[in-house]
Amino acid sequence: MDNFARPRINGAMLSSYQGRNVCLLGVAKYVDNSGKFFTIHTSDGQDVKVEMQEPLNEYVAGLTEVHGTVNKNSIVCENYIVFSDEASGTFNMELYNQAVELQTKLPNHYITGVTQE
Amino acid sequence: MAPNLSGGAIEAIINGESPEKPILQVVSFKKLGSGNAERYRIMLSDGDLIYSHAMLATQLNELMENGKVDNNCVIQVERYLCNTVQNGRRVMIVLDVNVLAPGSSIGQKIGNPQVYKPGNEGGQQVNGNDNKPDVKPAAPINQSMNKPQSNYMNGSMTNNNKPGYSIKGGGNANTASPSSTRVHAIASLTPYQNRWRIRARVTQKSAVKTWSNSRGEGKLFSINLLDESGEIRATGFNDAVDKFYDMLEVNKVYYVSRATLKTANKQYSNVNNDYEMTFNPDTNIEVCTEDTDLPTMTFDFVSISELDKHQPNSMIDIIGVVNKCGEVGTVVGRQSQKEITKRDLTIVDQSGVSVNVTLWGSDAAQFNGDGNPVVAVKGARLSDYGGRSLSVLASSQMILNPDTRESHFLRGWYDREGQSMNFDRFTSDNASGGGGGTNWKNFSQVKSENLGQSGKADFFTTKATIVYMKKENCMYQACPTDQCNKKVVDQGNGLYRCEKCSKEFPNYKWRMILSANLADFCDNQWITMFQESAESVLGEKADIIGNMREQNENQFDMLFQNALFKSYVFKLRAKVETYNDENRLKTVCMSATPMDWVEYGNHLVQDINKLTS
Repeated sequence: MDNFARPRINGAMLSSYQGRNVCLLGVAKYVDNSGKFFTIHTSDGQDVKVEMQEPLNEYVAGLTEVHGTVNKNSIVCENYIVFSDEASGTFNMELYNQAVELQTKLPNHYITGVTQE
Repeated sequence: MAPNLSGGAIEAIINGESPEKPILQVVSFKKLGSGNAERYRIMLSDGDLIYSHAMLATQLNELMENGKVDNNCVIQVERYLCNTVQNGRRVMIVLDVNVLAPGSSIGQKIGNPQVYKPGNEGGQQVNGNDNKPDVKPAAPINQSMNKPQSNYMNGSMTNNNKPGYSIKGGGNANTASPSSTRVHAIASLTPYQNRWRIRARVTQKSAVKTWSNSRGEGKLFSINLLDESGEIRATGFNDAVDKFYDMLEVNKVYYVSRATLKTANKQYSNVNNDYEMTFNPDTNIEVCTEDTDLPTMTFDFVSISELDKHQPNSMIDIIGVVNKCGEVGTVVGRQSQKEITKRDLTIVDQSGVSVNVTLWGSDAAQFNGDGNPVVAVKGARLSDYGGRSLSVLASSQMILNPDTRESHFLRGWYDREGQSMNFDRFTSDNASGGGGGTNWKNFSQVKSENLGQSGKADFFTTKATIVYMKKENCMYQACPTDQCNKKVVDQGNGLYRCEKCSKEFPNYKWRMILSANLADFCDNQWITMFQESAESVLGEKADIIGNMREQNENQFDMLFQNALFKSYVFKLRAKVETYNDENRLKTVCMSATPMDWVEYGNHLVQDINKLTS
């Protein structure tokens, strides 16, 4: 029985999702010259390192959503989405963070993913 | 033997002087009025001039009735006073006389007096300002009058002793009456005196109103004046508006003299005084620069969160910071059918609750909400619309950034923390679960709660998505008259007839009547959108859409296609209406606002927090 759920988390919740698939949305910054790492500034104002399995071959900046597995204090990236500048500019990070916290607080009302039989 | 008349006395009186105990001849008299209001007008001669503007004080009527004073009799005027009435004409009021010789013993006019023709003596006032450079301008001198009763305020006497305040006044021409800068109490003012001066605080000031009727047009404003003794309303018309409106500021203290007093018309006044004042061209208003202990405008502020403890339609005083300042809009008055300017403000205070305040007319047009000012309103009307809301009436007084303790506290609080707070809002009694001063409903609630079924219209707000719009009959040709939106009948001859206006027009305007199906997560609802909301949803003006429909059907179809599956916050009005004995719930769109996702998101978070706390 695999858990395909990929809950949205913020920086503070990272430690309680060790080894799990998560979705982390924040603002990308500090892309390493090797293209193997970059940092996500999370919705609750923390910096989380993202490890790429393949080096990045495009410019990553602004609002970015990372899907991956939590490994200690970083995320091993499986997939990522860079949002448009327009979306970056108008995105309300504070409200997003509230939504993330509500989902965690009320898991029965925010069912993410399906459990396979 | 005829006594000598005081020659020149009348000229002196006309020129604003007050010669003492002049001896004058009564040339003729005339009874004015009737019943209790009988008065005698007398013509007096000093041998040189005959003056017709003289009245006998009513307590002396007896002298006329028993014949002691008759034609040609010579009197010594022991006490009198002069009132300047309109146009600078001076009316002499005889208060006490001594009859020196009855008319019968004289039998003729003494000398060869000429009837005085009122000329241009209006500029010459008793007030000695013009030739008294040593008088402080802020404290004009008014001579006291020889009035029998004293009604001066005690407080004013101490004021007279203030350093630098000249109590010297009057002039050589006026040695007969003692001079002083006494201030009269508002409560003592009557129409029967003219040489008064009050010192009063402006507690209320109206906007300038204009009128236009068969007798002409003009403008006016009014203020309320308050001193220790009472209040009085004062009104200025036309020139007085230009002269005084800008100088008079609410909450400042002014000296006012030489205004006309008349019986108050209670219809236009909320002030407890039998008389009211009208400013005339002679009226003098000056700022009082001294400290006074006049009562200030007192507020009995109600905290915004406590508004629901007060009855709707009561008058309350409120203070708050303008958190949101809406744009100027217009509504059409239900009764007057006139367009009225309005502006909605959202004000907040430390109680963490916000409330809507509506300004009207020029208050609305002129209001500047920049920098989140503090507003204090005296006598705002509380309404239960949208839970609780306030309306600033013509009789209310609004002050921006008042210099009061509450105001400074509010300013500090708002700048420190208030501006970033989320405020609760009042909700209608029948609102459930929803915050936001608005009655949030989803469509299954609309059905389960039988909205609109109770015979009265129910208003609610919902976030929904347009899933279908009927292109057929979505618009009609309407009467081009401004207020009239009735459907016109195409006469087939290029003319369109409006039955309501009973007129034919060569043109028409397009009006929208768009049926749409809205859906939210739980249900759907047919609604009707009229002009403004239909235009905003379709993104074009009705006349352009009308042309499109006739000329470019593809484009018309695209317009509808593109408008689908967009979400809005709809304000809706639901009411059951009966067509052909069939009851149908009619839901009309009042407004469709494109989604502000952040605002809506915050609203949802608030609701969730309410449900989970």
